[in-house]
Amino acid sequence: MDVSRRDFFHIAAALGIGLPTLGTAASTPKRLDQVALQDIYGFKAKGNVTLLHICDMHAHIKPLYWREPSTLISAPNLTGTPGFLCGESFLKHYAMKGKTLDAYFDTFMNFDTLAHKFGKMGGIAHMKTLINHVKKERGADNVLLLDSGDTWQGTGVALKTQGEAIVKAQNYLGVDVMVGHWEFTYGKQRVKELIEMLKGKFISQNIVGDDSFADDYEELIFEPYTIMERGGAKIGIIGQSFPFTSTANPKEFTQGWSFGLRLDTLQTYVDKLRKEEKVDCVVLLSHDGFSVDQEVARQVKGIDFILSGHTHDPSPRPTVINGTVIIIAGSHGKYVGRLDIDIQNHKVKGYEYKLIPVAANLIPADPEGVDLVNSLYAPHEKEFGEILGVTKNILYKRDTFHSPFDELINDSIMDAMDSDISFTPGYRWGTTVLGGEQITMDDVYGMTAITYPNVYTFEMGGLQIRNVLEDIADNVFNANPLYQQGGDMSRLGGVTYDIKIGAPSGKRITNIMVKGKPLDDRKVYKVSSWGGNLQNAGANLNDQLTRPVYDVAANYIRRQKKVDISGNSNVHILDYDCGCPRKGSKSC
Amino acid sequence: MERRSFLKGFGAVSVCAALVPSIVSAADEAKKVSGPNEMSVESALAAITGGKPVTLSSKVSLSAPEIAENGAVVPVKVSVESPMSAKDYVKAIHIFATKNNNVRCANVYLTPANGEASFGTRIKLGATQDVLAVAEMSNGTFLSAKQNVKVTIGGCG
Amino acid sequence: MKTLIKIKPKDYKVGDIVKVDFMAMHPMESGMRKDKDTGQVIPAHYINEVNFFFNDKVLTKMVTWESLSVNPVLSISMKVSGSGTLKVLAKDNKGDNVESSVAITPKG
Repeated sequence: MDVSRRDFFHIAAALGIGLPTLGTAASTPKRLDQVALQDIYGFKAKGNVTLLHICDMHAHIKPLYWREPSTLISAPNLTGTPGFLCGESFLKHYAMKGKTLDAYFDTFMNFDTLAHKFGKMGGIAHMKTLINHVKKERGADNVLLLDSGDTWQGTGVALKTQGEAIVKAQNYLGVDVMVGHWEFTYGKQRVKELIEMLKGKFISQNIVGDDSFADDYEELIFEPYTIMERGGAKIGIIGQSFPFTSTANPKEFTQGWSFGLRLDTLQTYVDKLRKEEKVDCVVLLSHDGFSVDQEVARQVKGIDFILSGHTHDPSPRPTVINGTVIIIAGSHGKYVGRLDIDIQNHKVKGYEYKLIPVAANLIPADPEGVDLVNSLYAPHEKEFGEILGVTKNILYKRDTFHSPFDELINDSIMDAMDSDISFTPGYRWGTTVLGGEQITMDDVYGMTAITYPNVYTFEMGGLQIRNVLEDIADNVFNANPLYQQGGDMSRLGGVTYDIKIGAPSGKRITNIMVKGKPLDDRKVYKVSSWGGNLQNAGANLNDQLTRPVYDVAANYIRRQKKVDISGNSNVHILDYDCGCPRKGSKSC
Repeated sequence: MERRSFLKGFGAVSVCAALVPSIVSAADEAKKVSGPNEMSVESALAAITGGKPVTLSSKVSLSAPEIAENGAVVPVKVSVESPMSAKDYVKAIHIFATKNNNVRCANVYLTPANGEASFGTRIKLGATQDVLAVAEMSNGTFLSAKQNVKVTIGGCG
Repeated sequence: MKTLIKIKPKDYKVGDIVKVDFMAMHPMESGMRKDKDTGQVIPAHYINEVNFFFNDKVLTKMVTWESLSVNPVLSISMKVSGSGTLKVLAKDNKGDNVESSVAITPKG
């Protein structure tokens, strides 16, 4: 899609390009194009090394729309801090203007309107052009491309190829080092195969064998760190995969491996890199999550840079804690973070950072990448391209409590299974379909493409359901980031409830209504769920009804043809009066 | 006996953002059924200290995960600063799971021949709770450290 | 009861402090679990005593309880005083007991 001349003016204005340039370029649209592009690329280059950072691509090798959350609330002590910023509070915190290209990428505000103006985000062909540009400017030998993980999973093409399509995409992009989380849901054997295919390195200091009679008991499964020379400097990169992989995802995928934060061994490796390996710069490539990594910076001494991931936060400016600089580059391929480092006399003297939006309409596609994407999609085009229906309103995923796309999935499950309650997981990955647009099978996979896709239907007692909700709430709203797990609340179909986020653990949720009636602790409810194994907690599992969630959702949308999701949240927040509260405030 | 058979029944449940039902049911059971060695943390401590005070101390370091990967297998490591000489050593390290039916996990009686006062094991936790480590010093004092371990299933990203 | 003793690191010399890992295959039944089929409480069955000796001299004694995980792992330190045998005696509450040992062979 080409950007119209009118849009160039919008973009130019949005990017704050001066009028003189606009004046001279107005008659030559191509020139304007270059100006806008220059502004995306524009960077005050510094020092001798550049780290390019990507995270949480979730297998989106094609450009997409991705709307950021309009509700992002945590425990009162964390709300309004980096990691828990959205909308107006985000713009205020980072001193940004609304309705700009950056605001379109970073916030939900005016998303529908701005999406039509600025177009899609990400895509490997566009990322590659950007990466090539930086490599040309800095010299390829001075640049590293680091990937914080959640790369292999999240789309139909990833699922159908068991991750292989995405490893090809990483090799094409030139990923040098990565860590993982959802990667592990392909199972240990497949993970090892994919790492063989990967040209870059897969490292993790926080995964060890935990089968006490096995040879690898308490031994590292992957290399804990790697040392790379760039720009004449020795850079030590330590890997930190998702510490809670075995609780967030089914354990069977990683049976025999133990994860965890392992801050004591992390400190050991930092010290070893500095004292024994004599590196000039220590980088932690992490999938801990943004708020957890801020805590890591408080507890572990001597890390220069943390390249974070997992929580999908766009952070236009680094967060600095105890001298450790933390960056995170959003999600779904929307951004490439550029970190220029000045290393002199074996020390980091300075740095410069920019979170670069991968605006697919402005950054030209690299033809090789277009060919690669086409070839990877070709075998599945017929299935993925099926138009299932049209949505009246925008469908998106991210929000602390409720999202329209999850509401649609819950509706489809309750319709198919005739259940009282449906649980859809509070993953942070997914996709966005604009109001008035068609929903394709690829979009449905973009919301549901996991290796354990079955919807299970079973019975649960009211009290058990209440306890489940409290337990989830404590994982999302715990005041200590180290006790959080980085997901949003499970999305519930058939249920409404009130929540007091600042209340003590186990006492947050009240007024639970099931299909309009108060939850009866002693009553047995018919529950459907997917994306976990809540079914193991229930009784009388109905095997006859078990089916993959993408089939359930696709069938429902096919029958509905026109989807009309209200987007009204089923959760009433008692202690905040808006979705994007400011720090120390109950309001926006 | 086959190891696999032991692991059955401990299949921890993971809901993306939900509870560990196996753990919850274990906790429910614990309320109904008295374990053979049921003992509270107060009684267990008194039995060891004879009523002497137990002081939280930075000399005792307790390492446990913040969030248990599996409530049935929670790694715990304790180390205590001590010269471990014949005159000055750590006589014992005691581990307690403060909310289990029987809070006692292990009583480890060390000697100077250990060289270092350290102990590691893996314990079962029936619910989110504090793990407590108490070091009995050769001079008759008791030092301790504790950490909260969350037993859950968790959210995801 | 199958057991295993590991000394870490593998190479050590006199005066070094090594880690001794003792592993046992044992159900460590708490006495609070019910058999899913019969509904009967599964009787408590757990290792309750583990004693470590170096050249027949007590190194460490342990009283252990049902809160230890299935197939328990017990790790301690040992200062290597010379060559000899590290012996571990483990016993459970049903009277089953096992003796395992490993040679301690310092280098240099």
